[in-house]
Amino acid sequence: MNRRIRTLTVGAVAGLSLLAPVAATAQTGSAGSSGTSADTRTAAVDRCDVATVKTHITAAIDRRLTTLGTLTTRTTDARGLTASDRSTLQSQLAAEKSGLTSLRSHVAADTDCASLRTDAKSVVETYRVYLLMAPKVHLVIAADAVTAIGTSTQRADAEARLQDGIDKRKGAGKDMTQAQAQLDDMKAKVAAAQSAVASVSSSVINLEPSGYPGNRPAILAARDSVRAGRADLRAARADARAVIAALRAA
Amino acid sequence: MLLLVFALAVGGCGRSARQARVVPETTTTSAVVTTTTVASAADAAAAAEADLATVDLNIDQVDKDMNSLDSDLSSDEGDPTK
Repeated sequence: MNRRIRTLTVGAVAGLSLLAPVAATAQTGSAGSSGTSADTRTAAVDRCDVATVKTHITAAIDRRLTTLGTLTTRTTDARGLTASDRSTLQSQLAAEKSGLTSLRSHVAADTDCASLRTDAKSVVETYRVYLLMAPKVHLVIAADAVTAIGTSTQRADAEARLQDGIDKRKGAGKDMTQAQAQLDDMKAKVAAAQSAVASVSSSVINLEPSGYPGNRPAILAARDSVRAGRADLRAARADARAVIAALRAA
Repeated sequence: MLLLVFALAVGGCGRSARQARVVPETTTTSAVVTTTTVASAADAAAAAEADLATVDLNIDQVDKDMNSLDSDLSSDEGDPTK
């Protein structure tokens, strides 16, 4: 029985959960006496107060629109985000904002709870603002930033200057074996970081809300890759600091 | 007439002097920006540190977005309503 209920309702739970507080206020105390919480929500929605449900769904849409605005600003400000990725993400975010804005109008025009339930489900499943769009934006920005460090003039200049400094100390008869090893490790770590994030952007940027939750493993795998890249960069930075200290001390 | 010639001569010298001051400064600035070869190992360390400050900003950005990502994912684990 429980399995059947889950099969019938799991697809609707996403939308129905938006209505849970409404369900609670709509109940008179008898509906929650048996069955699952999904049962309770289903029964309650059938008896819902249209105006209250509209208010609740509209608030859910507005929260998502605010998040999409924040994400859009993030893509505008992000250092290292490639022009192509910025354009793609901003296009996707704009499409979500447009869709949710239209849905908001549709909700306002709804006159029955069946329609509202369909719209509530759509708020979640058609857009996946929190579970897909937000992670996707943060992943692509972070991955592109790692790549940008690897290709940056500043990073290359820093390596060249450290090598120049080591060579000068060597020329003066100093033992710079450890510093050279640290600089070599720095270069290797930067390369490893770039390698770790190389496919992150392409693996997540076109993931669709309709593919959730099947595409969640791709998000998690990309997160692991960016974490690895970040760890490599931190190690590279530590190497650079060590070389600088060695140059000053020698 | 002599005064006029003198005034022009002084003015011309003034312009030359100003130009003489400006040109080397510009050249020096350009040289500092473009070279990666510095006078001493200590200078190399200082220059590298300046470059790494920019790199640090990018690493900070990676940290910021990864923290946001962790927040996105950890708080919504398995929640179909998001």
